[in-house]
Amino acid sequence: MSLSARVGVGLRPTHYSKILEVWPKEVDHFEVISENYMFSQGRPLETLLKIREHYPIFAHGVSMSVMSAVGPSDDYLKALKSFYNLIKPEITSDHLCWTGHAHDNLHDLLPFPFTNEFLDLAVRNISKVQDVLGRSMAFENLSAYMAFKNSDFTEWEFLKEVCLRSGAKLLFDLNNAWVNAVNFGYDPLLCVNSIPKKIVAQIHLGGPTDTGKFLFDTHSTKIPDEVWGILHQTAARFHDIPIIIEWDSDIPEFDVLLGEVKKARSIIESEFIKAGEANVHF
Amino acid sequence: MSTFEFQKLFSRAFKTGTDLNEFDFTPAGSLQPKEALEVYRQGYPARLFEALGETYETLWKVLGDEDFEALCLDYISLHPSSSPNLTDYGEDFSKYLLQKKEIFEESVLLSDLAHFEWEFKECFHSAFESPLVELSSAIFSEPIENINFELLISLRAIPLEYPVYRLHGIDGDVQRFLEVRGARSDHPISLVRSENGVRTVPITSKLLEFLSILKSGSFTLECLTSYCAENSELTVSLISELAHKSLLKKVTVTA
Repeated sequence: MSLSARVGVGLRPTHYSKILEVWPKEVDHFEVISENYMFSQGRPLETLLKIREHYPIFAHGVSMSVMSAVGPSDDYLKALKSFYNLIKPEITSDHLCWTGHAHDNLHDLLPFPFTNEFLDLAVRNISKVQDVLGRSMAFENLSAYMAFKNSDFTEWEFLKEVCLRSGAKLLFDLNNAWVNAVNFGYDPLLCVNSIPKKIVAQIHLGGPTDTGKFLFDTHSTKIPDEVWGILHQTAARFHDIPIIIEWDSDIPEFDVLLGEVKKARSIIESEFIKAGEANVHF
Repeated sequence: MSTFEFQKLFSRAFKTGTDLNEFDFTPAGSLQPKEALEVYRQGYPARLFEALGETYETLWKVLGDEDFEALCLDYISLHPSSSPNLTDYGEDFSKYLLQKKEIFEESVLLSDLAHFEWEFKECFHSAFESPLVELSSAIFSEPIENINFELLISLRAIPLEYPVYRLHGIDGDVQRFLEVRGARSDHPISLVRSENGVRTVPITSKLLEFLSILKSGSFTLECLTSYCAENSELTVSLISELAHKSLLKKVTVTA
């Protein structure tokens, strides 16, 4: 088995000029926030189309609201489909969450209890979404600040069931898995080791903020050692799953992101070699 | 509790900061239940404020941090967001500012600036098209009904009482602000996408009026015919101004 680690970063406007100037070879792909481009015909989209000529693009949404009780909006899905048709992204994703109720968009990735009712809702809505879009989607596990006691499943059981029943994939955010484990007091590997590789389409790595009372998913810092530790633990198993480094607030120079890209690739490679020497089969 | 009921009640708690009794949950870390809800509640105005700040960058500089933030938070409390696209938020900020006459002496100027910045943002997100470079004078010998012209899709025409476009993109230039404040008159402008951004083009009041009729949905020929009536000089003048200012995509003549 050969190694094919693929690591990229979230594309943010502050880095456009640097990327267009140097076309960084260290980056295998870029991930864009779909909503930043799907409603625009202007400069941001033109820039993305230029970058698209050189790199595979992953399209990651924040407003599908796939867990909405009334389902995602038809207009939203129509606009998203047009955007996908234009960009032809390699991986398309959103979050396993809801973002508003009735006419109100609350612009947040909102939590819900992991109950059978919400599982049925997830499967129903995802099936509709995948039918309308004509493609398989990946959905990201959330960072949450409340865990509902009436849940029928653990988070990881719920994620697995959703993917197995709907045919969707998991965008596995290792930072979110760690944040939730710390915030709700369990071992992150309980979650990570329960996720079968066959449902994982992509991995996110990012850095949260420690507020002193809880970990807050801000994507505003370097990836913490604990999350690198989880990548070490999972690298051999997930070695060929594409990775994205996310950084959304207090965005640093592009070279800092490249440092994180190199570190992620180095971990995957070293763990893959170690596993090969140990004759581990994946 | 159904999924619909859960989301309805959670949304209400999100908006009011109360009514948490319906939910039995473990808050993250050492947070109290109410504090956990606040983590979500505080994100909402913060995101909408960020969106307003991106659109109304110059207005922010003119007003200063304190006033801009106070106005934004008041606007956010009065105008819930309904679009999945944060960039869509704040369309009525210009109208909202007009209602602040008692607080801000320059409310009309501030409203003009907000109107300009909103249209600038809309134009920035429009597709770029190459404008018509040269207009043949032979066109003016044709009857009006044979002339078809197409405007650039990004074109926006707006009435302004103050030349606020002169403030756009500048930082803390008090002298410039005073000049703009002292220049109250009619300052109609148009905005079009250029290859690298947005072009601001002052236009005549006549052209603004004509473009406003067009934007209301009239067909070009119908509009030109009714607006210019049989006045061929006006027709020539309007089309010439549109061409001269590079606001036309193309002009064709049908036999």
